[in-house]
Amino acid sequence: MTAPTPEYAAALLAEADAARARVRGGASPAASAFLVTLGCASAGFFLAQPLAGSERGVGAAATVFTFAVLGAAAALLSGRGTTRAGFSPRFALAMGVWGAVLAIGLAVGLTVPGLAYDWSWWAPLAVAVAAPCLVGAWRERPR
Amino acid sequence: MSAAEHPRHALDDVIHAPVRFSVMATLAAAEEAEFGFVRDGVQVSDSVLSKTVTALERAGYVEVRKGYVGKRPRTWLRLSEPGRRAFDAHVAALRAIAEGRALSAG
Repeated sequence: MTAPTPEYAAALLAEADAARARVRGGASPAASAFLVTLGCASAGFFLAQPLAGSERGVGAAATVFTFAVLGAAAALLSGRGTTRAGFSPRFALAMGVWGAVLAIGLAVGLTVPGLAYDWSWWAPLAVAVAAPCLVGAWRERPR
Repeated sequence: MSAAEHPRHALDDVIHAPVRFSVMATLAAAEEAEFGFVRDGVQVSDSVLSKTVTALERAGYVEVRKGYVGKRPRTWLRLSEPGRRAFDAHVAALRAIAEGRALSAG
């Protein structure tokens, strides 16, 4: 192999930088959109607990939440084209923290007496359940 | 490699060809990329990219996954772990050449 000149080597390195920028800009927005939808739907579901004030209202909120998440998941599966390096661990972290907050929040809120319709429990949890999704969406945005 | 060796010895013959380098550079920045995205970014035809990917796949540097989005067939490309290591080493050698220094041992 002929050794490249320093100028040609520098040009190749610049091309690698350009490719990195192209991937950053062309990364699919599907994962970001999914995480934003998941975060907002989860926060809305938590806020619906004290707002609805009845099991029927909570059931309706759960239905809306389920359809929103299923729709976003379908869009994610069909729209994911190009993802930046390291996407899987970042996405898994966001989903893991979201799942843990959702599970613990629901388990405690629905079993401890007096919490089921208590704003002071559900309002901070709404922020906590949305946060990992919104941070994850910010990190995955095309740029 | 010894500490005094010229960095050209660390260049990878498989990656050194221009189109292969461009494809590897694109995939190094991505976890996974669609065939069409790589083709448009590298600015080659389907057949040229297909041949390039076959060569890189044969070297064990690229993994190919085929699937469907709806009813449309799609192909996704990604670097294998050996491919990522080889590209990083190749880029380190290029950087050493560009800066006019020898590669450090190891």
